[in-house]
Amino acid sequence: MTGTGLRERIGEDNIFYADNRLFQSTELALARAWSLVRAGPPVSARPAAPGSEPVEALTSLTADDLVSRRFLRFGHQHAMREALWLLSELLKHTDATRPHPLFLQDRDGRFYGKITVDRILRELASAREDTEQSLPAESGPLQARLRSNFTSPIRNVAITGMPTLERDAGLVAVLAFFAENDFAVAPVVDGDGRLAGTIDAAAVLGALTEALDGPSGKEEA
Amino acid sequence: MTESAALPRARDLMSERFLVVLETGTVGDVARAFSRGSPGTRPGVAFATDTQGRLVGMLTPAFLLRAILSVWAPRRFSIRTDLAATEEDLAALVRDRFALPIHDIMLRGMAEVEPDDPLSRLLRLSGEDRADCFPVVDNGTPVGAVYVNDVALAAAQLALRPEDQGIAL
Repeated sequence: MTGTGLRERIGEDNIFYADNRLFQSTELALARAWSLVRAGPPVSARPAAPGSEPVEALTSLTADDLVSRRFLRFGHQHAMREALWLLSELLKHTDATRPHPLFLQDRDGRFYGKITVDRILRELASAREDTEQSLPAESGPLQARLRSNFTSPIRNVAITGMPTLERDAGLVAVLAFFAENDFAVAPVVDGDGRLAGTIDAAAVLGALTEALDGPSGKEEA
Repeated sequence: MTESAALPRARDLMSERFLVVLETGTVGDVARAFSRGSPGTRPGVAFATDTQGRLVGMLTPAFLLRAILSVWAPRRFSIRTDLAATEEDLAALVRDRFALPIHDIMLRGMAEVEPDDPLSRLLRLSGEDRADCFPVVDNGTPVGAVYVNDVALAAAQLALRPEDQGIAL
Protein backbone atom coordinates (compact mmCIF):
# COMPACT_ATOMS: atom_id res chain seq x y z
CA MET A 1 0.00 0.00 0.00
CA THR A 2 2.86 2.33 0.73
CA GLY A 3 4.06 1.73 -2.84
CA THR A 4 0.92 3.14 -4.41
CA GLY A 5 1.90 6.76 -3.98
CA LEU A 6 -0.96 7.27 -1.58
CA ARG A 7 1.26 8.71 1.08
CA GLU A 8 2.41 11.38 -1.32
CA ARG A 9 -1.17 12.08 -2.37
CA ILE A 10 -2.24 12.60 1.22
CA GLY A 11 0.44 15.17 1.67
CA GLU A 12 -0.35 15.89 5.31
CA ASP A 13 1.94 15.43 8.25
CA ASN A 14 -1.00 14.14 10.20
CA ILE A 15 -1.63 10.44 10.19
CA PHE A 16 -5.03 10.02 11.64
CA TYR A 17 -6.69 13.06 10.21
CA ALA A 18 -5.50 11.98 6.83
CA ASP A 19 -6.59 8.41 7.39
CA ASN A 20 -9.96 9.51 8.66
CA ARG A 21 -10.58 11.31 5.43
CA LEU A 22 -9.53 8.46 3.21
CA PHE A 23 -9.57 4.92 4.50
CA GLN A 24 -8.27 2.64 7.13
CA SER A 25 -4.69 1.63 6.66
CA THR A 26 -2.76 0.00 9.44
CA GLU A 27 0.35 -0.17 7.30
CA LEU A 28 0.06 3.46 6.35
CA ALA A 29 -0.57 4.52 9.94
CA LEU A 30 2.50 2.65 11.10
CA ALA A 31 4.67 3.94 8.28
CA ARG A 32 3.60 7.47 8.92
CA ALA A 33 3.99 7.08 12.67
CA TRP A 34 7.56 6.03 12.10
CA SER A 35 8.16 8.80 9.59
CA LEU A 36 6.95 11.35 12.09
CA VAL A 37 9.10 9.98 14.86
CA ARG A 38 12.05 10.08 12.52
CA ALA A 39 11.17 13.52 11.22
CA GLY A 40 14.47 14.91 12.39
CA PRO A 41 16.30 15.82 15.54
CA PRO A 42 14.54 17.97 18.07
CA VAL A 43 15.26 21.63 17.67
CA SER A 44 17.40 22.69 20.57
CA ALA A 45 17.72 26.16 21.95
CA ARG A 46 19.11 28.64 19.49
CA PRO A 47 22.79 29.25 20.29
CA ALA A 48 23.62 32.72 21.49
CA ALA A 49 25.06 35.06 18.92
CA PRO A 50 28.80 35.64 19.32
CA GLY A 51 29.40 38.49 21.68
CA SER A 52 25.89 38.57 23.07
CA GLU A 53 25.40 38.79 26.80
CA PRO A 54 23.97 35.68 28.48
CA VAL A 55 20.91 37.52 29.74
CA GLU A 56 20.25 38.83 26.25
CA ALA A 57 20.54 35.29 24.87
CA LEU A 58 18.08 34.12 27.50
CA THR A 59 15.38 36.69 26.98
CA SER A 60 15.51 36.62 23.19
CA LEU A 61 14.37 32.99 23.12
CA THR A 62 10.88 32.18 21.87
CA ALA A 63 8.78 29.04 21.90
CA ASP A 64 9.80 28.40 18.31
CA ASP A 65 13.47 28.18 19.34
CA LEU A 66 12.67 25.43 21.81
CA VAL A 67 10.06 23.47 19.94
CA SER A 68 10.44 19.87 18.85
CA ARG A 69 8.47 18.47 15.98
CA ARG A 70 9.03 14.87 17.02
CA PHE A 71 5.57 14.13 18.36
CA LEU A 72 2.50 12.12 17.46
CA ARG A 73 -1.05 13.32 17.17
CA PHE A 74 -3.79 10.85 17.83
CA GLY A 75 -7.49 10.96 17.11
CA HIS A 76 -9.56 11.32 20.26
CA GLN A 77 -12.05 8.67 19.11
CA HIS A 78 -9.66 5.76 19.49
CA ALA A 79 -9.44 3.07 22.17
CA MET A 80 -6.83 1.99 24.70
CA ARG A 81 -5.51 -0.84 22.53
CA GLU A 82 -4.57 1.62 19.80
CA ALA A 83 -3.06 4.05 22.29
CA LEU A 84 -0.90 1.30 23.76
CA TRP A 85 0.19 0.12 20.34
CA LEU A 86 1.05 3.61 19.13
CA LEU A 87 2.86 4.47 22.35
CA SER A 88 4.90 1.27 22.14
CA GLU A 89 5.90 2.07 18.55
CA LEU A 90 6.85 5.58 19.57
CA LEU A 91 8.94 4.34 22.49
CA LYS A 92 10.86 1.95 20.27
CA HIS A 93 12.20 4.93 18.35
CA THR A 94 12.53 7.69 20.90
CA ASP A 95 14.26 8.41 24.17
CA ALA A 96 12.31 6.49 26.81
CA THR A 97 13.80 8.58 29.63
CA ARG A 98 11.69 11.55 28.47
CA PRO A 99 7.95 11.87 29.04
CA HIS A 100 5.96 11.23 25.87
CA PRO A 101 2.29 12.11 26.29
CA LEU A 102 0.06 11.28 23.34
CA PHE A 103 -1.50 14.51 22.17
CA LEU A 104 -5.03 14.24 20.88
CA GLN A 105 -6.89 16.02 18.13
CA ASP A 106 -10.49 16.18 17.10
CA ARG A 107 -11.81 15.07 13.72
CA ASP A 108 -10.97 18.45 12.25
CA GLY A 109 -7.36 18.12 13.31
CA ARG A 110 -7.59 20.69 16.08
CA PHE A 111 -5.82 20.17 19.37
CA TYR A 112 -8.07 18.33 21.83
CA GLY A 113 -5.93 17.32 24.82
CA LYS A 114 -3.60 14.55 25.84
CA ILE A 115 -3.34 11.18 27.48
CA THR A 116 -0.35 10.49 29.63
CA VAL A 117 1.43 7.19 30.04
CA ASP A 118 0.39 6.86 33.67
CA ARG A 119 -3.26 7.31 32.69
CA ILE A 120 -2.97 4.70 29.95
CA LEU A 121 -1.43 2.23 32.38
CA ARG A 122 -3.96 2.97 35.11
CA GLU A 123 -6.85 2.42 32.74
CA LEU A 124 -5.37 -0.79 31.34
CA ALA A 125 -4.69 -2.15 34.82
CA SER A 126 -8.09 -1.28 36.20
CA ALA A 127 -10.42 -4.07 37.22
CA ARG A 128 -14.06 -4.38 36.41
CA GLU A 129 -16.39 -4.32 39.40
CA ASP A 130 -17.10 -8.05 39.30
CA THR A 131 -13.47 -9.15 39.21
CA GLU A 132 -10.54 -9.33 41.61
CA GLN A 133 -9.30 -5.79 42.19
CA SER A 134 -5.61 -6.45 42.79
CA LEU A 135 -3.34 -6.83 39.79
CA PRO A 136 -2.47 -10.44 38.91
CA ALA A 137 1.16 -11.35 39.53
CA GLU A 138 1.27 -13.97 36.77
CA SER A 139 1.71 -13.21 33.11
CA GLY A 140 -1.40 -14.95 31.77
CA PRO A 141 -3.93 -13.34 34.10
CA LEU A 142 -2.13 -9.99 33.87
CA GLN A 143 -2.24 -10.14 30.10
CA ALA A 144 -5.96 -10.91 30.29
CA ARG A 145 -6.51 -7.96 32.66
CA LEU A 146 -4.73 -5.55 30.35
CA ARG A 147 -6.56 -6.84 27.30
CA SER A 148 -9.91 -6.60 29.06
CA ASN A 149 -9.57 -2.81 28.91
CA PHE A 150 -8.46 -2.59 25.29
CA THR A 151 -11.81 -1.31 24.10
CA SER A 152 -12.10 1.51 26.65
CA PRO A 153 -12.29 4.85 24.82
CA ILE A 154 -9.22 7.00 25.38
CA ARG A 155 -11.55 9.97 25.74
CA ASN A 156 -12.43 8.60 29.20
CA VAL A 157 -8.92 9.26 30.46
CA ALA A 158 -8.02 12.24 28.28
CA ILE A 159 -6.95 15.50 29.85
CA THR A 160 -8.87 18.20 28.03
CA GLY A 161 -9.16 21.95 28.31
CA MET A 162 -5.40 22.17 28.50
CA PRO A 163 -3.51 25.42 28.12
CA THR A 164 -1.32 25.66 25.04
CA LEU A 165 1.50 27.85 23.79
CA GLU A 166 1.64 29.68 20.49
CA ARG A 167 4.73 29.44 18.34
CA ASP A 168 5.70 33.07 18.75
CA ALA A 169 5.32 33.03 22.54
CA GLY A 170 8.28 34.62 24.26
CA LEU A 171 10.39 33.00 26.92
CA VAL A 172 8.40 34.68 29.70
CA ALA A 173 5.23 32.99 28.46
CA VAL A 174 7.02 29.66 28.12
CA LEU A 175 8.38 29.87 31.67
CA ALA A 176 5.02 30.98 33.02
CA PHE A 177 3.47 27.95 31.34
CA PHE A 178 5.81 25.54 33.09
CA ALA A 179 5.52 27.41 36.39
CA GLU A 180 1.74 27.33 36.34
CA ASN A 181 1.22 23.83 34.95
CA ASP A 182 2.58 20.54 36.20
CA PHE A 183 3.52 19.44 32.68
CA ALA A 184 6.76 17.92 31.44
CA VAL A 185 5.84 18.69 27.83
CA ALA A 186 4.01 21.76 26.56
CA PRO A 187 1.85 21.63 23.42
CA VAL A 188 2.48 24.36 20.86
CA VAL A 189 -0.35 25.14 18.44
CA ASP A 190 -0.52 27.05 15.18
CA GLY A 191 -2.99 29.75 14.25
CA ASP A 192 -5.63 27.18 13.28
CA GLY A 193 -5.45 25.46 16.65
CA ARG A 194 -3.54 22.47 15.31
CA LEU A 195 -0.63 21.00 17.19
CA ALA A 196 2.56 22.37 15.67
CA GLY A 197 5.13 21.00 18.09
CA THR A 198 6.00 20.36 21.67
CA ILE A 199 8.39 21.88 24.18
CA ASP A 200 10.06 19.58 26.66
CA ALA A 201 10.81 21.02 30.09
CA ALA A 202 14.31 19.56 29.73
CA ALA A 203 14.89 21.75 26.66
CA VAL A 204 13.83 24.83 28.60
CA LEU A 205 16.09 23.88 31.49
CA GLY A 206 18.94 23.38 29.03
CA ALA A 207 18.29 26.78 27.47
CA LEU A 208 18.34 28.48 30.86
CA THR A 209 21.58 26.75 31.78
CA GLU A 210 23.23 27.51 28.46
CA ALA A 211 22.16 31.12 28.50
CA LEU A 212 23.40 31.75 32.02
CA ASP A 213 26.70 29.93 31.58
CA GLY A 214 27.32 31.35 28.12
CA PRO A 215 27.31 29.67 24.72
CA SER A 216 30.42 27.65 25.51
CA GLY A 217 28.56 25.93 28.33
CA LYS A 218 31.24 26.88 30.82
CA GLU A 219 30.20 26.44 34.39
CA GLU A 220 30.44 29.31 36.75
CA ALA A 221 33.35 29.22 39.14
CA MET B 1 5.23 -13.41 25.65
CA THR B 2 3.54 -16.73 26.35
CA GLU B 3 1.16 -17.12 29.21
CA SER B 4 3.63 -19.32 31.09
CA ALA B 5 6.47 -16.82 30.87
CA ALA B 6 7.56 -15.06 34.03
CA LEU B 7 6.73 -11.41 34.38
CA PRO B 8 9.60 -8.99 33.80
CA ARG B 9 11.05 -7.56 36.98
CA ALA B 10 12.43 -4.17 37.82
CA ARG B 11 15.96 -5.43 37.22
CA ASP B 12 14.95 -6.37 33.65
CA LEU B 13 13.52 -2.94 32.89
CA MET B 14 15.80 -0.63 34.81
CA SER B 15 18.05 1.84 33.08
CA GLU B 16 21.50 3.05 33.99
CA ARG B 17 20.69 6.50 32.64
CA PHE B 18 20.34 8.31 35.94
CA LEU B 19 22.43 10.69 37.99
CA VAL B 20 23.41 10.29 41.60
CA VAL B 21 24.00 13.60 43.38
CA LEU B 22 24.67 14.55 46.95
CA GLU B 23 21.72 16.29 48.54
CA THR B 24 24.10 19.08 49.53
CA GLY B 25 25.01 19.79 45.89
CA THR B 26 23.47 22.76 44.15
CA VAL B 27 20.46 23.03 41.90
CA GLY B 28 22.75 24.49 39.23
CA ASP B 29 24.97 21.41 39.34
CA VAL B 30 22.00 19.16 38.58
CA ALA B 31 20.63 21.50 35.90
CA ARG B 32 23.99 21.47 34.15
CA ALA B 33 24.32 17.70 34.47
CA PHE B 34 20.86 17.23 32.91
CA SER B 35 21.93 19.41 29.98
CA ARG B 36 25.33 17.83 29.36
CA GLY B 37 25.89 15.60 26.34
CA SER B 38 23.64 14.96 23.36
CA PRO B 39 19.87 14.82 23.89
CA GLY B 40 19.66 11.06 23.32
CA THR B 41 22.17 10.28 26.03
CA ARG B 42 21.07 12.59 28.84
CA PRO B 43 19.70 11.08 32.03
CA GLY B 44 16.04 11.66 32.78
CA VAL B 45 16.32 11.63 36.55
CA ALA B 46 18.72 12.47 39.36
CA PHE B 47 18.68 10.58 42.64
CA ALA B 48 19.85 12.57 45.64
CA THR B 49 21.68 10.69 48.36
CA ASP B 50 23.07 11.45 51.77
CA THR B 51 26.76 11.07 52.48
CA GLN B 52 26.19 7.36 53.14
CA GLY B 53 24.86 6.87 49.62
CA ARG B 54 21.28 6.32 50.77
CA LEU B 55 18.49 7.62 48.59
CA VAL B 56 16.80 10.68 50.10
CA GLY B 57 15.20 12.44 47.15
CA MET B 58 14.68 12.68 43.42
CA LEU B 59 14.64 15.30 40.66
CA THR B 60 13.51 15.18 37.05
CA PRO B 61 14.16 18.01 34.57
CA ALA B 62 10.49 19.01 34.67
CA PHE B 63 10.37 18.97 38.47
CA LEU B 64 13.61 20.96 38.63
CA LEU B 65 12.36 23.57 36.17
CA ARG B 66 9.14 23.99 38.11
CA ALA B 67 11.07 24.33 41.36
CA ILE B 68 13.34 26.97 39.85
CA LEU B 69 10.39 28.96 38.56
CA SER B 70 8.18 28.62 41.60
CA VAL B 71 9.49 31.73 43.33
CA TRP B 72 9.30 33.79 40.21
CA ALA B 73 5.87 32.63 39.07
CA PRO B 74 3.75 34.56 41.58
CA ARG B 75 5.24 37.78 40.21
CA ARG B 76 4.77 36.84 36.59
CA PHE B 77 2.04 39.34 35.79
CA SER B 78 4.00 42.39 36.90
CA ILE B 79 7.09 41.04 35.18
CA ARG B 80 5.25 40.40 31.94
CA THR B 81 4.22 44.01 31.62
CA ASP B 82 7.76 45.28 32.06
CA LEU B 83 10.19 43.52 29.75
CA ALA B 84 13.23 45.41 31.04
CA ALA B 85 12.48 44.16 34.51
CA THR B 86 11.93 40.67 33.13
CA GLU B 87 15.48 40.37 31.85
CA GLU B 88 16.98 41.44 35.14
CA ASP B 89 14.58 39.55 37.36
CA LEU B 90 14.68 36.37 35.37
CA ALA B 91 18.45 36.07 35.22
CA ALA B 92 18.82 37.01 38.88
CA LEU B 93 16.14 34.57 39.92
CA VAL B 94 17.63 31.65 38.02
CA ARG B 95 21.11 32.41 39.36
CA ASP B 96 19.74 32.55 42.90
CA ARG B 97 17.88 29.31 42.49
CA PHE B 98 20.89 27.57 40.91
CA ALA B 99 22.83 28.31 44.11
CA LEU B 100 20.30 26.56 46.37
CA PRO B 101 21.16 23.16 47.84
CA ILE B 102 19.33 20.26 46.27
CA HIS B 103 17.72 19.20 49.54
CA ASP B 104 15.77 22.47 49.60
CA ILE B 105 13.74 21.61 46.53
CA MET B 106 14.02 17.88 45.82
CA LEU B 107 11.05 15.54 45.68
CA ARG B 108 10.84 13.42 48.82
CA GLY B 109 8.78 10.41 49.72
CA MET B 110 8.65 9.04 46.19
CA ALA B 111 7.74 5.42 45.55
CA GLU B 112 10.74 3.12 45.42
CA VAL B 113 11.08 -0.32 43.90
CA GLU B 114 13.41 -3.21 44.50
CA PRO B 115 15.19 -5.15 41.75
CA ASP B 116 12.92 -8.18 42.12
CA ASP B 117 9.64 -6.27 42.02
CA PRO B 118 7.47 -7.66 39.19
CA LEU B 119 5.81 -5.82 36.35
CA SER B 120 2.47 -6.02 38.16
CA ARG B 121 3.79 -3.82 40.98
CA LEU B 122 5.43 -1.43 38.52
CA LEU B 123 2.13 -1.13 36.66
CA ARG B 124 0.24 -0.39 39.84
CA LEU B 125 2.73 2.24 40.93
CA SER B 126 2.78 3.82 37.48
CA GLY B 127 -0.96 4.28 37.58
CA GLU B 128 -1.02 5.60 41.13
CA ASP B 129 2.01 7.79 41.49
CA ARG B 130 2.02 10.08 38.43
CA ALA B 131 5.81 9.79 38.46
CA ASP B 132 7.88 9.58 35.29
CA CYS B 133 10.39 7.30 36.92
CA PHE B 134 10.99 5.11 39.97
CA PRO B 135 14.29 4.58 41.74
CA VAL B 136 15.41 0.99 42.07
CA VAL B 137 17.06 0.64 45.43
CA ASP B 138 19.11 -2.10 46.97
CA ASN B 139 19.60 -1.71 50.72
CA GLY B 140 18.67 1.93 50.42
CA THR B 141 21.15 2.68 47.63
CA PRO B 142 19.92 3.63 44.14
CA VAL B 143 21.06 1.02 41.62
CA GLY B 144 18.81 1.80 38.67
CA ALA B 145 15.89 3.80 37.31
CA VAL B 146 12.67 2.33 35.96
CA TYR B 147 11.06 4.82 33.61
CA VAL B 148 7.30 4.67 33.27
CA ASN B 149 7.79 4.51 29.51
CA ASP B 150 9.67 1.24 29.94
CA VAL B 151 6.81 -0.08 32.07
CA ALA B 152 4.46 0.84 29.23
CA LEU B 153 6.66 -0.90 26.69
CA ALA B 154 6.74 -4.05 28.85
CA ALA B 155 2.96 -3.89 29.23
CA ALA B 156 2.59 -3.58 25.46
CA GLN B 157 4.86 -6.55 24.87
CA LEU B 158 2.80 -8.59 27.30
CA ALA B 159 -0.64 -7.53 26.14
CA LEU B 160 -0.46 -6.88 22.41
CA ARG B 161 -0.80 -9.72 19.94
CA PRO B 162 0.20 -9.53 16.27
CA GLU B 163 -3.40 -8.87 15.26
CA ASP B 164 -3.49 -5.86 17.59
CA GLN B 165 -1.10 -3.80 15.49
CA GLY B 166 -2.36 -0.63 13.88
CA ILE B 167 -5.23 1.77 14.10
CA ALA B 168 -8.86 0.81 13.56
CA LEU B 169 -11.03 3.46 11.95
